[in-house]
Amino acid sequence: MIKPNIINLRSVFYLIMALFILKPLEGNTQAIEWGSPQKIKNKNLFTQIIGETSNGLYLLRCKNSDFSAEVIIEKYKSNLSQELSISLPLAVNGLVERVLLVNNELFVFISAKNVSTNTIDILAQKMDENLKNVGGPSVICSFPVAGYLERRKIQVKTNAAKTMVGIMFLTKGTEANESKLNLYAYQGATQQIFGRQFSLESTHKEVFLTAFDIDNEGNAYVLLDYPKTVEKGSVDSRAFFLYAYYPDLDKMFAYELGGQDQFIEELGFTVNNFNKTIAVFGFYSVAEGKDVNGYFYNRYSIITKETLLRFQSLVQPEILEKLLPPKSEKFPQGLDNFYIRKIIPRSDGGIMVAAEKYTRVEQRYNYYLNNMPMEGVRVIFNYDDVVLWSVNSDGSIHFTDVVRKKQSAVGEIGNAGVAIIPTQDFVHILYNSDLDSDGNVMLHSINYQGRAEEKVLIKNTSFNISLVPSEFRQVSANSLVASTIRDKLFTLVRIKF
Amino acid sequence: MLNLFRTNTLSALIAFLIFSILIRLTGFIIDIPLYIQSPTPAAQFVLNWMHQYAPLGWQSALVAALLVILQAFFINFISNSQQVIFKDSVLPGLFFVLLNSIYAPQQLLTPQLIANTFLILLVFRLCFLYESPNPIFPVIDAGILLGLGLLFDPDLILYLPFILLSIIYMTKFNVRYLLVAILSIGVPLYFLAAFLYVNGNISNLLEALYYTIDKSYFKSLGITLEKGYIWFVILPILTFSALQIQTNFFRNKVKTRRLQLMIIIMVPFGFLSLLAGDYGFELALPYLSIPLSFLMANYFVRTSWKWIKEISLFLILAAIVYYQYLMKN
Repeated sequence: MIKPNIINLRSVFYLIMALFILKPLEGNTQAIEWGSPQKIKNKNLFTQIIGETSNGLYLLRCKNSDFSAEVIIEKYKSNLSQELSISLPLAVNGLVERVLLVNNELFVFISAKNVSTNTIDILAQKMDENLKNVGGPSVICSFPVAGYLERRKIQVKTNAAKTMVGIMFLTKGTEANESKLNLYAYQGATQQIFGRQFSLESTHKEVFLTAFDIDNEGNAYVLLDYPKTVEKGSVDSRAFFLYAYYPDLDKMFAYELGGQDQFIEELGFTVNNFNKTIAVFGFYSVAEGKDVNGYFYNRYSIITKETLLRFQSLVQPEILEKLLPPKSEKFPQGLDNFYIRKIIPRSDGGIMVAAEKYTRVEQRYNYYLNNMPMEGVRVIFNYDDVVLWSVNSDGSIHFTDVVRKKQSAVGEIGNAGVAIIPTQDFVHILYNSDLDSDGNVMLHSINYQGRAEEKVLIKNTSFNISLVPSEFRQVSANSLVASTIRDKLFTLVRIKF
Repeated sequence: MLNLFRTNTLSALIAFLIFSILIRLTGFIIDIPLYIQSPTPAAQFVLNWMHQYAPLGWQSALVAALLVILQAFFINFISNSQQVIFKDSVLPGLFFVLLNSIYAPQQLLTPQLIANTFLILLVFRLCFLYESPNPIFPVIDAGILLGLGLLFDPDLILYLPFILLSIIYMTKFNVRYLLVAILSIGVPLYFLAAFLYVNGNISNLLEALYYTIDKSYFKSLGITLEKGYIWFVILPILTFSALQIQTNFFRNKVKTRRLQLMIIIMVPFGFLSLLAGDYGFELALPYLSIPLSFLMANYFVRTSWKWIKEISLFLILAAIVYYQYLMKN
């Protein structure tokens, strides 16, 4: 009668021990769930994953990367099996600007020319979980056709909590040498919080919009630059600004970026909704045409509207040596051509930055057609190493890391690039090891202390697989859904970290 | 009320005119948004002209109303002169106006409404195919008219098989007729392209052509249940009418039989044009309204089940008033 009790106690002990041993491993394992492979119909090669609700996962398919016309909307069950696939029903004749999940409801944002009023209307059309339109579309914003810029996309996005929608676009100014920055924000998708227009003293062709975001309070931020009249060569010929509009004050704050000996080459920003700050990070060179070997980190308070940190520094040569490929006379020894892909705010005020080396090469070649010499042009897009920076709240570098890769793609569609997914403990970087059919899907994970590991996430054994890094969506704190090409078929995959 | 419209007298025509004006008043009373994306160069020309010389909403509604009423008179003329329906009446025109005035955006001038004029003329020319000693002329006319319509709405290309089917059905299978039809469709396009090329403005036309080739012709109808209520009344009427035509088919003359069949063949093409449009099904309704107006008139022209017909008409009118004045957007 006593023996079984001893065995039970031992079992409990072993079980507890096993749990302790296995626990650290559990943190860095991934579960992979596949959807059913589908043929790519009607050349709808591009996918945009809208997001996931309790009703299912929604995505768009299109023949081009614009997703503005001839768009197909699809609904998938949580096990990634397809439930519905229809052409996006548009209640008005217009262009799809964006399809978003706002408060777990599906909204289509359409821009359309209203010939009755000669205005461009932006309309929000609600859809139900069965992809049917609910009621008619609501006009949420209008502006005269005369100011409309056809080639400039109207940016529509949600805040981090997905409860608000922000709209930002440029329009032509009334004067020849000005343009207008238009900012709108909505509670839900249709209840306007504000709609403002600001004049910029440059033409729309000269204004470059880098990023736009809204925070969970409904404040809007735009990172932009335009030319400034300076003597060429002495200082940066462009003025870089973070514009922050606070609707409660009804004021636009312009924070100038850059400074003496700072020629900004690349920049980005992120909103930290946790400690109410905006972080702007970028790379610069000390003189025009010189190697990009400096970085700056500015932080601004959303509450006090003050500049909390303005930091700039040259990157130490030993760090550059670690990050960059071995020295070569052919390539610049700096952070030239590194493009910021993601800035992840840290809870302590610091940030983690991932930047990818991206170059575009035009190759000209000669060939003969019917004995006539012809010249062809091939554009090759190179996606190379990814550098990771962890920057402390005081601007100093906490650690750096590098993902070594060489990827080249011809044309717009590519399996090149990276998917960056921040989770609670790690920043995960997914990419294809080789872009041909023999490649694996690789996972580079780095924790917030700088410990990195690289492994094969999906091995190319029984099937050919390649991830499409530009077509992924983080659907929860620790999972993403991405599109893959598996044995030449479109297949969705869910990866849980 | 229907008794008045069942005749083709002067009083019926006046009543029809008053009725048409009343049903198309919305555009004069409320501001209706109208969204047209990337119109063809010809449509763009008309819209620009309208914007320059008649920019107000009621002016667009006035032009649209005049065009619809003219088209309706022509539909009546086709019906009565070609004996599509067994009795002369103004009902085909009346239902044409009704079907073109269901939803608010239909009150305004659209490229589809202009293109529909050519489609009606095309139907008229096809009516002559059967009796014509030399069918090649109606075939050329029909092709050119479709070509003219195409300049305003490229989706009308869907009616090419309709012309070819009609030619085969109304005359005989002759490859020459089919080739002439196809070639004549290209004639207006050729002249417009030449004109635009000389003016250095052909890129818009090419863009429209590329888009027409590349686009999907099977889109979602995009109809909501609320917008669909009226069709719960119209669809049974159409079904009854089709059954009546089928029952009495062989009592008619050969020409009438062929015309009725042509009208029925036109229905699926009209439905396809609803699916093909980038502009919401409302604006493509004019195309479908041509065959439907004949079918509905065929049902209402008969005096049996008078009260049911009066109630049906009342329900249709009530739905139209709701869609035009009370429904949001």
